[in-house]
Amino acid sequence: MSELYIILNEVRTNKGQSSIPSITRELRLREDIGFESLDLAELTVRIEERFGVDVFSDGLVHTVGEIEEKISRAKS
Amino acid sequence: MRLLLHNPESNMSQVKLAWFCSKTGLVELRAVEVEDAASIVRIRNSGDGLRYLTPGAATVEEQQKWLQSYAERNKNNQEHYFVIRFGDATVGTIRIYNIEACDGKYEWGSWRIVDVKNPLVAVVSALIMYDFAFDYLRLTSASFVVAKDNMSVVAFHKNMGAKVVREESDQLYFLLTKSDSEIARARWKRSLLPEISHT
Repeated sequence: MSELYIILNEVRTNKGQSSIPSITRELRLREDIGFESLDLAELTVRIEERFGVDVFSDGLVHTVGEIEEKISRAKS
Repeated sequence: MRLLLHNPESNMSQVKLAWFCSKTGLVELRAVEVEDAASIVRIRNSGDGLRYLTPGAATVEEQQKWLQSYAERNKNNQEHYFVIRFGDATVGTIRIYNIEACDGKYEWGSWRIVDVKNPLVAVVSALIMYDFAFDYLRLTSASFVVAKDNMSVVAFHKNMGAKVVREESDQLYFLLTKSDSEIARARWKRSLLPEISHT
């Protein structure tokens, strides 16, 4: 979770937004974290670089929890 | 990439650039035709299009006229305007213009995608265009203007290697050279290319 937290904030600060103080599994990427399409694209490539996980492998993701599940599944 | 550069009947280029990627499916850039006028007006008028795009034709008839004038510029290779096709639908537009082949310069604009949930489609469309401009047309630098508050697009262009060369109260003027784009284009392609085929 902490590495994912860092990546999420990297994308936010990269576009001039402040870091989010904490994340929960329920947080929605668009509505709660404020990501738009290009931010989500940047997020996916950073996750792939960091974890070797394609978050689009079986459909789009909408929440922090869905990303976490994909990372956990790939690690196990 | 599939290229067919001139159609004498329509007097416009018939360029089609297509990538297939398992993360997106097929994404195509097809040279605009006058028949695309209604789609272009719809795309320009959707969401925040009017806020971030340079003011243009407001009606289908005006857009048709504009496309006819574009045909002349296109014939002289001064401009290439594409509709972005995804999932059998026209979902966006993208354009390079004011092309100065002798200096390798061009301007980039009209980049807009609507009603597409997969965020990578926009990136693929930009990469196809950069490959076309930098690698196929052998141009060397792109200029473009982005509204400061369009933060995601600003971040995307900066990540692509573009540099801010001028700033106004609400606009950023960018320059992206081919050499500055190489690292970012390679980075995106590492993520997208294993499954991409050029058709």
